[in-house]
Amino acid sequence: MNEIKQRLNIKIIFIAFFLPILVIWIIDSTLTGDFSSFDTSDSFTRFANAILTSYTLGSFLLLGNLFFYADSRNRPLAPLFGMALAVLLGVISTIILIGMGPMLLESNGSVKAQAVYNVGHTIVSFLAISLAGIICIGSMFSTITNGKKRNIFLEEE
Amino acid sequence: MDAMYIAVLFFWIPMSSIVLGLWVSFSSKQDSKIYFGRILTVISFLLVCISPWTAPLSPSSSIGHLIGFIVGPSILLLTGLYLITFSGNVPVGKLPYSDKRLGFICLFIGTIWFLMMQWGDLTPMYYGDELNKFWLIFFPTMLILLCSLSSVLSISMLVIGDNRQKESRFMAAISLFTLIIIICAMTIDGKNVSSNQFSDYLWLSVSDLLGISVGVSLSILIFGLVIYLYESNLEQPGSVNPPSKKELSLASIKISQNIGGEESE
Repeated sequence: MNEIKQRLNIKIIFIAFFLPILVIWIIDSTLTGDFSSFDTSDSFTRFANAILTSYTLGSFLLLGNLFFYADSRNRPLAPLFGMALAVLLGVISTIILIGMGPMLLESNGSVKAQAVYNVGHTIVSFLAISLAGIICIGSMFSTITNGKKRNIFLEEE
Repeated sequence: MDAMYIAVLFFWIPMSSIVLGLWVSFSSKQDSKIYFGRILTVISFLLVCISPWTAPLSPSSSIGHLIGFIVGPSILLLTGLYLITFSGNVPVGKLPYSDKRLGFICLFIGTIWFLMMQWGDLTPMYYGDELNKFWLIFFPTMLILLCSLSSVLSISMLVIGDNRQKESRFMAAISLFTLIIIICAMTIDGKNVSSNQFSDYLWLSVSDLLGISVGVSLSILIFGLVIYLYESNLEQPGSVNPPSKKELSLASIKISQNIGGEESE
């Protein structure tokens, strides 16, 4: 029973994340009289570039994290090598996929320019994500601490 | 010097040093290393902020230009939230009640500042007439995530929390407020940013957020797989010899020294 409730809760929370986006899409569609200003071609390009860049940067950061993991395991080389391969895979697939043609090139003229732009874009997105996350969590804590004072433990009789 | 080398020297190296500095300051246990990390972060951050002057020909310096513009309202918002949170019912580090008013003022000014950047004269502009394109990435991404996350937290308070209806309503109000700002930005032209531009970039931001979540999940999955494969290939640790008579007698002495006493009623 608890498991069903937990799954239902996760579904509700998942819906809560996408509901505002859906509402905006409906309003935008109503305002423009079309299926909103959502351009599938540009959006796919951005989506693909975001996957490639965030995978590569994320793997690179996790590769650094492995050094700390290695501290408790007599510094083994095998996981470091494995993660370095994962980073290399990200870099090579980025270069190959961007170089395949205009599909992943946004308004940039070369693979190098697009790759550097992707990193810059991800940094800006990361700043926006961090700020939004901190504001949300900060707002939640401020409402909790400014609510009624609660007794956590029942007083002993 | 070539523009690319200037960008590497005055933008990308300081940008990487921010991450390195944060990493060193958070992961080190020695005070000297922690201070070194903090100083490196601050100096690198300043170098990134002045990159529009040190590397003016590089498009990457637009990021430094944007950071310079958003640092003010962001600090105000974060300070406001900090003051409001810690002037409430907190068990330790409670701030005086007057700080709550100051916190609301900071929050209000920070919000108005951001809104003025979208509709007023405070938009990040190059040389007064060229819009910094990274603003069109930053602002829609922040708004859409703020709206969705507030909605998630509002529902979470109801589903997971105990008697948190008031807090849930407050988070829902933040989500609604952000939604109204997004709709206004999609319909009302600013001085430097048109509503059409905002709409186009808003949907690109949604694609971007989905792409980032997929990419980061993939990298975490690979990381877990690498560790799992390594751990599963490790040999079983050899078992230790049974304790000798001397060790057993020593252990029994230690145990008898540490247990016993009168039984409590």
